[in-house]
Amino acid sequence: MPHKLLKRRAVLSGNVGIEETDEILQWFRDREQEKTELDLSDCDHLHAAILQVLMIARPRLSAMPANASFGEWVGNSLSSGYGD
Amino acid sequence: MNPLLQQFLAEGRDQLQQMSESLLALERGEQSSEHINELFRLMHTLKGASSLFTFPEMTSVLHIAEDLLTAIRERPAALGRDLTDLLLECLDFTSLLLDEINQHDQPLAHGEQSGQLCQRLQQQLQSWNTKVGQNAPLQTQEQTAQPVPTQQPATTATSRATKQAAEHSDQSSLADHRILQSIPEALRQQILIESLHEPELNYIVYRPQAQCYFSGEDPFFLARQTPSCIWGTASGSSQDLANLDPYDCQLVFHVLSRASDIELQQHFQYVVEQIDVAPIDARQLIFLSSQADDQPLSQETLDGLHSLYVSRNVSGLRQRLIDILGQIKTQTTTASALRWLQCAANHAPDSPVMEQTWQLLTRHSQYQPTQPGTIQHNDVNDEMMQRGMQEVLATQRHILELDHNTPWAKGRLKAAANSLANIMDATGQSEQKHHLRQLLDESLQDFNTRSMISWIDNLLDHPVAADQEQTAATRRAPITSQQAQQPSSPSTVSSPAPIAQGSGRQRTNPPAQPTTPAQAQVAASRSEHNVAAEHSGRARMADNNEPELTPRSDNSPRYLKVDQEKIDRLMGLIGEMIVARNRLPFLAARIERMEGGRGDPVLRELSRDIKEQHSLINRIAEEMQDTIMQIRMMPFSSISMRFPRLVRDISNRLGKQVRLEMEGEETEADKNIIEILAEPLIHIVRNSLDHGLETPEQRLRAGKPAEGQLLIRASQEVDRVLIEVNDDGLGMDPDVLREKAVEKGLIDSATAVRLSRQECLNLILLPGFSTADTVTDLSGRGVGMDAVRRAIDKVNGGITISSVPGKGTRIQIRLPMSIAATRVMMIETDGQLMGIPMDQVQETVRIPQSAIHQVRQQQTTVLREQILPLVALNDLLQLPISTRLNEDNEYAVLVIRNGSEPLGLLVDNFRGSTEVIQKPLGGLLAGVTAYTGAALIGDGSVVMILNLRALL
Amino acid sequence: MAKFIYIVDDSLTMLMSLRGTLELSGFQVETADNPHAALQRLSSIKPDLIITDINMPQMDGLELIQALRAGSQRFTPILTLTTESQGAKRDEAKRLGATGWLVKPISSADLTAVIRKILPGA
Repeated sequence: MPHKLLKRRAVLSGNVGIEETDEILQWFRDREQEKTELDLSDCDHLHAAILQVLMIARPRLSAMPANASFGEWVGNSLSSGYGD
Repeated sequence: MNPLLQQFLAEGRDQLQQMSESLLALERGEQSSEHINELFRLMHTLKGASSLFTFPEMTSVLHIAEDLLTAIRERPAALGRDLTDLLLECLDFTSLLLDEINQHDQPLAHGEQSGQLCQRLQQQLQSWNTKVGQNAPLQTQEQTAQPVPTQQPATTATSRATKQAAEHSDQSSLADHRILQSIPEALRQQILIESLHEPELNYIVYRPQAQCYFSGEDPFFLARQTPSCIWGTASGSSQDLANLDPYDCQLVFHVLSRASDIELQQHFQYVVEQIDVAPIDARQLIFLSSQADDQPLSQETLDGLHSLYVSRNVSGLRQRLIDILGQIKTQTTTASALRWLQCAANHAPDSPVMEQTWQLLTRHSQYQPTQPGTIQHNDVNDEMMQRGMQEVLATQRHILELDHNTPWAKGRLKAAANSLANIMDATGQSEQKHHLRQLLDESLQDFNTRSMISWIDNLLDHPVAADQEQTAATRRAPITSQQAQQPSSPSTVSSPAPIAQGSGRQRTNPPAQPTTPAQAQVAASRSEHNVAAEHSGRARMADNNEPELTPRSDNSPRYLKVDQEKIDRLMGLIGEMIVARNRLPFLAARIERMEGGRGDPVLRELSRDIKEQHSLINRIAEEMQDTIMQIRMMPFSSISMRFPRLVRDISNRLGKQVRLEMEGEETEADKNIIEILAEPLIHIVRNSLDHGLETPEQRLRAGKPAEGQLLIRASQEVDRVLIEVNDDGLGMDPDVLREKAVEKGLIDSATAVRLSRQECLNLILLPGFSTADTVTDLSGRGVGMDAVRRAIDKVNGGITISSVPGKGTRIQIRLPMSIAATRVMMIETDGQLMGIPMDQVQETVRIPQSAIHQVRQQQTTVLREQILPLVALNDLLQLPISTRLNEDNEYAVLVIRNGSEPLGLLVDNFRGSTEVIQKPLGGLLAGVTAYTGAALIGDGSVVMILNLRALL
Repeated sequence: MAKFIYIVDDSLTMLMSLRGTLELSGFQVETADNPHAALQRLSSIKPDLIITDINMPQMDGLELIQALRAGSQRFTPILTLTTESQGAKRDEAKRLGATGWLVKPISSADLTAVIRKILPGA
């Protein structure tokens, strides 16, 4: 489904597939110094590649998805912290 | 070099070889539990042996390798290539050190390499142990503040040989469990509660391959859908947005699930090798989430809780906890501890969880009860104590005897050990716990509880008063008459002092005993025992009351190790004896030639006796010779055993897939032959791998299976050994070889044109054929097949090369089975005796002068309708004399094999055949190529053995 | 939105049977009985999942997979249809880029279960 990349907020909807990775990555790259927000209220799933981008970009999860377990996964991963 | 060190070197090499074989077998997936046990046993033994000497770098590597193998034993199937490579590297490193010790009595310094290996081994161990193991109850007794699960099998896990390894281990254990620690407390408590009736809990770590997206995978989707998933997260390595390659998957997924192993395997069926599943106990989730803030409890409050706790007043405890939690801040560590206690009190007040959460609170608060909580000596008299103890001991003993084949056998064992440890504490023998721990570890490894049972038996059978109020150092043990009879040597008493008998109050004066106090003995013998146990690798209770543990089955075969030199000397002696034996007929003949010899009956008898003895000695000598030959016979496997490793390493390096098959490894040949064969064979195999076999892509394109075949076959043929190396690779094109030879100036174009197919193939045997541009690092610079040919020539062997371009190459080597004694044909020329090895001789024949034709420069004759070219030995030897004719104008012609064609050698006379021990020419004569050596014959004269190949 | 599955198999019976099962489960299906044609077609469409037989006379299933991965279908999940005894080929296919495999004969329940496991939104 088409995502909406606004000024500071990324709204991802439906199933976000790997084809959308480049665009999303670029959007975050352009905002590297800024605080960004992630709205998943309408999102069912996002591809691992995109999850990886989010885990590096660390936007604030401003709206949780309807699917609680999906939301927990994303929430946990975003705060898991890199190390290793 | 001292004999112990020598022994260590010899055994060490054997062990390394066997370990290498087991490792490769494991990698191929064969009979995993057998091989892993063998591997572990060998490593353990080798490590133990090495620690007898001072080779710290070797021992430290072996030490961690052993730990790793111990961990791997739990899951022998999943031994990947990286792990195998690492372990092989450790074996190589150890082998290198052994070589250095052999040369210099000490290994050279290899600090960096040793440290690196240790580090990598440690890393593997850590990642292997993300299968979080059971929390060993014995450890919680010893104030470990770590809530983190301890590593599995713990025999040597607590001692670290290198500092680097220690640092690294602390780092990564935190990293792994940082993930579990990130699970929120409430969820963990919920999981704990649910686990009370749903014990199955698995921790899965899923590491997708970096390129998985290009296989259409979405590992996040797969992870998310894990059946019965109760928690999950992804983790990754730090990267920055700018340099990120989003299509390179660096995520690792962590999942907690209640699904069974089978369900998990099914779910992850397409990526099953990328997941690690570890069962965990929900109790391992019991730890404090440390907060920045804390609000400690007062001593009074804690005392109150404490008395509620010990009196098992659950409802009172619950109420109190509600009260306290209502009063303190929620986001404090203390509150966290209280909540855990509350969780246990509410849902599992009768389970060990209660104790665990209580410990959590008291440790965090550093609580010491105002009044001692342990049972006062005054409260319970010794008799009750004794009886209670006996009962507990008997129960533990009974438990240890139960069937081992249950999933909870290990847990049960640890529980029993826990109880025993508590008893040790209660009777003031806490220092025994160390020993007990050791017994436990060994029992866990072997699944043999006999040592522990014996230990208990000792406690039950020999009660002795122990004074609980004294410290260990000054402890004295009044002994009953029973114990006084025990032998006093420290090494026999290796168990702790038994329980106090009911003589607590009425203690007799500690007398001056004939034996030293039991405790002191125990202390002394314990350290001995520890040392002994570590080095012998077995637990041994030498006390004559206690049964010896079944020693681990010694897999060593019943062979003698004999110094090769001794065998060589034996061979030499036999050889000399044979020559001496050969002298006897001459002696007999001389007697007969003596004046009147023929007629004198005494002399005749003497002569006969000598002949008889000659026969007897002959027979014995031949048998001895045969036997020695047999001793010197080595199986082909002594060379071929290094091939699996060689092929594996080289094919991996070259990116080729090769299947190695070997046949006839048990074929035997003389040690010398085998040794001479080793280098050429290795060279040929390397050639096959390097130039013969193609890469999988090339093979697929050529319509061959991606995996190349390499067949090495040894077989026996009467008195020869045949070795064949077959590959199904590129083969060799005669024309290409032809061109190359001309290019290298080895032959001129005119000759080249006339070469047959076979002769073209044989061109590779010419010196200088392989030069820098065709030789890769692997096959050796300019060594070439000519070196191979020379080695084979040296032992009178032969080599045949056949090949079909595109299909493969076959190289066959033929060697005599032994080179000790050679049968030679004796011939005479120019008054000199010479020998020609019998295997070159086809027949002897006399040819009349008239039958010889001269065709240009060549003399020929016709033998059985075949043209036989002739050559005079004198000419070959450049003797300016012509061959003599016999009385009938005939030439003595020795028909020999010259390559594939027969050749007639004109000599003066034949002198029969005999067996000689050929000795190579030395000193000034060493460079003479006309002869392969010289030999002594019966009459004591020296005979030169001709090297026909060189002459022709 | 219904997920779109593309199936390649030289057996028309197989194609029909698979198509039937999958359409019943709500998928949109397109088929090809000729791998070359499939390759052509797949250069211009974007299915959500590709299922291909591995034993086709016109083109080795392995080759097809390689070609697809090198060309237009880099990230599309691909499942191979194999027989029980083709372990090696299955592994080879995986190595060349297949996502997973199905072993013939496959029940419709198993088929849909696997698809739901790999396809978000299926």
